[in-house]
Amino acid sequence: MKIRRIKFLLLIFYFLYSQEETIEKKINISAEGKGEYWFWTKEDTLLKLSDHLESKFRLLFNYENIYLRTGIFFYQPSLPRKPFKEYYYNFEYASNKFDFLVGNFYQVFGRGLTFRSYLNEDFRYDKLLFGVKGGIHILKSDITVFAGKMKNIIFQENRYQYENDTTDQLRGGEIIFYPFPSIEIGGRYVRLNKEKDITPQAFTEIFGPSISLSYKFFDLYYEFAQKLSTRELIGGRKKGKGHYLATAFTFIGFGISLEGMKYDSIDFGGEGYRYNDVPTPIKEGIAINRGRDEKGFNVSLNFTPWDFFNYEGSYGYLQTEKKDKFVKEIISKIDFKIAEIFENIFNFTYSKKKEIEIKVPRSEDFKFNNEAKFTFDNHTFGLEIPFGIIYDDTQKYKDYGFALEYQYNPYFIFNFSYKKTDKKVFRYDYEDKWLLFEGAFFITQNISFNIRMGEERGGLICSGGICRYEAPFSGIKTLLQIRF
Amino acid sequence: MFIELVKRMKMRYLFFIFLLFFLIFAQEKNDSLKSYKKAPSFSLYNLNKEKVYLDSLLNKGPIFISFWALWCKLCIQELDAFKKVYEKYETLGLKVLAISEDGPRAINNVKTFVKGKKWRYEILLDTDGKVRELFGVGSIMPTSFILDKKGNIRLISRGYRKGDEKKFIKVIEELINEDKKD
Repeated sequence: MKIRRIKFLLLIFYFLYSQEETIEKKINISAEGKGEYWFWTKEDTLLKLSDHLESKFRLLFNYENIYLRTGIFFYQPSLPRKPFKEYYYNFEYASNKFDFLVGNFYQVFGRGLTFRSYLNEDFRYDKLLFGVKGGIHILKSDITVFAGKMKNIIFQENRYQYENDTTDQLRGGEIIFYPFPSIEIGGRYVRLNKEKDITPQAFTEIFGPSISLSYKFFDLYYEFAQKLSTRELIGGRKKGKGHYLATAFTFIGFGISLEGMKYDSIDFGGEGYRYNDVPTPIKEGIAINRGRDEKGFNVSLNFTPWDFFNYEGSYGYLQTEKKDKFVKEIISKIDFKIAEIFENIFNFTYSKKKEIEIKVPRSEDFKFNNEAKFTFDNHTFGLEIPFGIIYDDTQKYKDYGFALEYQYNPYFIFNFSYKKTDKKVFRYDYEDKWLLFEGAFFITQNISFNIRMGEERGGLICSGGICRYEAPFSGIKTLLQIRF
Repeated sequence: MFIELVKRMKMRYLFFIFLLFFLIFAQEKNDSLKSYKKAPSFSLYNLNKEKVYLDSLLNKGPIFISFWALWCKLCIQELDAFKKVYEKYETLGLKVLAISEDGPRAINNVKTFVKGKKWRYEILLDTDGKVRELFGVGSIMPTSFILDKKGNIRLISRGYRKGDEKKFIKVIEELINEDKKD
């Protein structure tokens, strides 16, 4: 789309918005614009990047049951890296009993064992569908059907790229009954046709039921999914299955939840990308092979014995069937407050990993972090002290540092941090210290501006079972966000 | 360094940013002239799987709506800090809708967290983010709204800074006084 067309569209939207009063406030228009500009001050030897520009603009136009959405995502790194553009648009009619959508959309079935398409903006991960979707909400039930194609967009090593942009066809449906207020019964089915399928009948399908019970202090959810695919070359059906169970016991001031899962060949998609996303018990977001061969559990609790004290704890474990790969994680967080003036948060995280990170066969991390904040009128002062002991196979090293924060409410926040490691380790980057200044300015209620100057450490970061390597950064990052 | 940075950005992007700024400023100017914007109607399930309609809560007092999520530290700080405000103004008709933006797989964890935190707010589940979109929340979390009893938006607060409760209290007291006059 050429720039003059964008200008024209923006002027039309502005005109429509200015007419809002005359249509008796039945029109709801909201929009958000976001622009990021990064500038490398130290040469990025690996990727040869010198700057990075990305912007996103989204607009919603709603009149009674009609919704029109449009948006553009634009990414331009310094040459020779390729720019990247993605348009978003859809039309939706949604009433209490019926809805219909054509264009781009996201859809999740159950807890994601059969199908999950979503956007995680913080993690810069987009699983976007293009197609049609319909829904009926009658007789204590919700029925959803869709047909479409998916694109997975991921930000890896400081650039956006497609994980898949295939001709794969996806079709599916879900039905959920609510026979009683405390019971929910669901069923779902998704079919995948690929170009390489030998015949239209040689497709892959995934389906399964779920049940949810809720009674006062007790909640239970169970989902099962079965995958049937065609064996390549030899023919015949190949089976996979997955189980997911979640329960919670909650009382005032105390809550405990338990999760358990077992997945066997339930990965649904292609090499590196998935059309489903099975839940992981690890809070850090790590998965081993995302549904191919995993089993694990998680126990989490939240406890507030006194109003000034809160404890959050979690134990998560995930392994392959043969235990040749595993992750163990313990998280403990203590939050202590004295009136409005003082708050102290202490975090402890322990994790043990085997064959999870490339080039790190085994690792064991002990990480401590203490954050104290003092507030006087509109001024807040913060001090954060992180400390970590890390064992990577044959080497042991320590990470330490501090961060100072000053907030002047409601205008700005400044943060200055210094982090150091006592050994240069390839696991992150070749630096041994990282100095960073951050400023956040709240210019008006609808406009904010952030700036980060200095060095940022690279490493593996994960969310919801998806992991990516964040390349180290040295330079300036700016972010402007506006909305109305 | 700044000049070098500007040079690297092509003129068309600067124009694009300029146009967006123009739209925002123009809008803010209009806001001061026109009457308050009405909050969009919505219905969502709460943690007990009961449907809650915004329209059924109107005409009873001010409503504080906060969009939050388990992964959002500032959202949790805001709702923690708001506990005392709610305790003080609950009897005067204040309602709190804490709309969780967590996905379907986090429902159990939301319940565990909320009960463990002793939050007494009405927790609503916006698992597909539709209500968040209707309110124009975008990617800034938390975003909070204070509605008067007619459903007009009287305050929008984006992000959370320590001490934000003071501005919430100011608007809530104004609304309670308006109700007394009526």
